[in-house]
Amino acid sequence: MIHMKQVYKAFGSYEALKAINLSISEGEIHGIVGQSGAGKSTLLRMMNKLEQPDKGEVEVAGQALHTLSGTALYQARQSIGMIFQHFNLLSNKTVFDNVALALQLVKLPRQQQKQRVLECLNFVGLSHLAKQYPAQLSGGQKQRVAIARALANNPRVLLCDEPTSALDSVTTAEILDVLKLVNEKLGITIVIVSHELDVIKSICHRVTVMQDGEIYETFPIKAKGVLRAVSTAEDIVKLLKKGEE
Amino acid sequence: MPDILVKYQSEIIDAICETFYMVGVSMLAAIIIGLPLGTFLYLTRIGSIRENRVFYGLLNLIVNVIRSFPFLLLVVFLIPFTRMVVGTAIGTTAATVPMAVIAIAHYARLAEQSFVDVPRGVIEAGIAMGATIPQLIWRFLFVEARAGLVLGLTTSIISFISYSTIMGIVGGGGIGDFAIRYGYQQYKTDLMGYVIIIMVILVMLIQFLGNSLARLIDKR
Repeated sequence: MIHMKQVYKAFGSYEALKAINLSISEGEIHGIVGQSGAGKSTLLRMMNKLEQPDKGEVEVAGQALHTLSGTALYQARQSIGMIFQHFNLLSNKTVFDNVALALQLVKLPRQQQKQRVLECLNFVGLSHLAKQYPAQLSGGQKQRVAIARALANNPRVLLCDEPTSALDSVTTAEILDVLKLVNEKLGITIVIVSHELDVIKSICHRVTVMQDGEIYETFPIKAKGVLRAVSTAEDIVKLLKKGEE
Repeated sequence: MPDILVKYQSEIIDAICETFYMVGVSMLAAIIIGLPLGTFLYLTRIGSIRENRVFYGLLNLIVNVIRSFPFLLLVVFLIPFTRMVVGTAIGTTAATVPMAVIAIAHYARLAEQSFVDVPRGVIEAGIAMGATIPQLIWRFLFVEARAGLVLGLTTSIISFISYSTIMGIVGGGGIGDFAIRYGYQQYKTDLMGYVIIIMVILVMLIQFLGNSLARLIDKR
């Protein structure tokens, strides 16, 4: 579903990504972890071309993103959902209109919009809040709206940039349940960037650990267990692999 | 009502109408030209959606020069331009030309500021959703900046009223000119005082309306 080949990215003289090769298969929930500055967000943002690679190939849902621009890029992005740490909802639009906005971008007829918005809000369990504004919602509710918005155009991939880092642990668990549902019921491939190892451990099938702009290791997650704060990539790998056998 | 106001009632009403005319044209210029200009300034800023250092630098320079020009000198400096646009440099219509010029620069800057206040993440969400540049502007930027745009316009209108008071120099008339001619030059200090009170009430009313509208449309 996602294939990256020899991807490089530099910001000025700072090399954010170096020779990244990564494949994520369809239906997978893939975690990306690492210290801040390791390049995990940059890597994620390559997957809908919020960041343009300097070199290399990025293919997402059958589209060679690195070759696309203009209308083709806009269309490709419409089938790649994304959610953010700070939700990024429009505060001047109601919950309903926030989700409808995604459909207006693709010029769906108004009647179908309404039906689709309600479907999406039902899926995240928020149809009763359709008329509220984001300022009236809790953090967890806002993230659900963001998920509904990201689902509106039937994406094949959902990119999550620190989706629970602004939430408390109970709300985090609720959002992770919704993401699991998105993956299992809708078959959407999910990529999650997080610095919270609990999140990675409880939801991801595979994880990529990054360090200094490079992939340190990619491996499947099988073990369950409580994790504590760690610093280096080596620590992270050790802890995530612990209790594997 | 004081006798002196009754005596000059029709002149005062005419003067207020002239002020409204000058301020109204400036306001239209601010919206029709200043707002798109402010949008371009925002879009081409360093690190923005369509970063363009040359274009931004040039636009920024023009706006700064116009804004830093002492207004009285700008009016005189623009006389040839005014004559080219409206055929004369004297009268209320002629006065609207330099006022429109300053209005455009003034509001472009305030609009740009309102756009900068829109969280970067909201625009980024729009880009990630596959919005085109016009969609980003109309469906994200303007929607989220709308309260700031209204407050900015309110501030601008009040500045225009202030600017309009010196338009007597090119025969622009208006309430400020009336106060100078009758109140100051003919020593009718009480009349000048009343006119100032009228203007203060006018400005407070505009500010109140602007604030109320902004509050109504701001759901943050």
